[in-house]
Amino acid sequence: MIDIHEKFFYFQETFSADTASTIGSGDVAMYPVSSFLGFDTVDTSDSTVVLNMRFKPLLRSVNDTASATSDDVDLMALTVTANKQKDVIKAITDKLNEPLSRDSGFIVIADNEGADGSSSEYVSEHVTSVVVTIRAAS
Amino acid sequence: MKMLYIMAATDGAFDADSATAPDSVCYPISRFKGLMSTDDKNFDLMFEALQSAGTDTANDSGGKDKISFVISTSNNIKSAAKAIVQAINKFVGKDNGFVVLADASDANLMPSSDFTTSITILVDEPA
Repeated sequence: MIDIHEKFFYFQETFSADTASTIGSGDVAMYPVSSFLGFDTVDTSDSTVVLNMRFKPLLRSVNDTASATSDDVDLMALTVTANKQKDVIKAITDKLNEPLSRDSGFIVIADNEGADGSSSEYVSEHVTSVVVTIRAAS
Repeated sequence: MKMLYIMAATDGAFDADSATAPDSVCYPISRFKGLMSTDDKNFDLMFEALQSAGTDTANDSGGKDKISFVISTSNNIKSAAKAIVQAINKFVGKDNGFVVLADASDANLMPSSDFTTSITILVDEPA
């Protein structure tokens, strides 16, 4: 539940999946912290460099009775330096608990491109990329 | 509690005759789900639905409301998102919790100068 103030996590994937110079549908996502479900390191290939952040879905709802493709929630999959997940979680937790006056509540977790395609921004030096997955509604 | 107010009618009149596209909506901030891009100049704010509670199994629906915005500068969604967060987190004493997130009837009441007054409100309605 959001009270008077709320922090927000911002994610920006590569412009239109590397094929275009403009932002496309689902390349950007922002969530209130109250929608944050938690971290995990689930991955089917190399979990040493994976840190997942999961959120209550933007598009799916309690009314969506059809099954999701893999799970119900939105997934922001961070690529991190091998085995530095703990450091990244700590950095994000630090941001969460910073005074609102420092960032106005706008926390950039990962921005692969920035406004001009060359000004990436990450919450930690150990984050190198993000893949934004917004689950479709049925 | 903060309330997020959005007005889409550029003429300022509350005269839309539509079940799913009202001129204005106002949500408790706890109903805000987040933001997603739909194009380089377009993005949606998603809210928990006003009319759909998820209990009408015979008339299942999307369960979410969508407010679509258009900005002027390509690939500037990050700045737009930041402007929205700043509007939401404005000192509560300035507005007693009533946050005009966007009011298309006055360009000065948009979150930033990069926002156009093109706003589309689409509320979910159980079929």
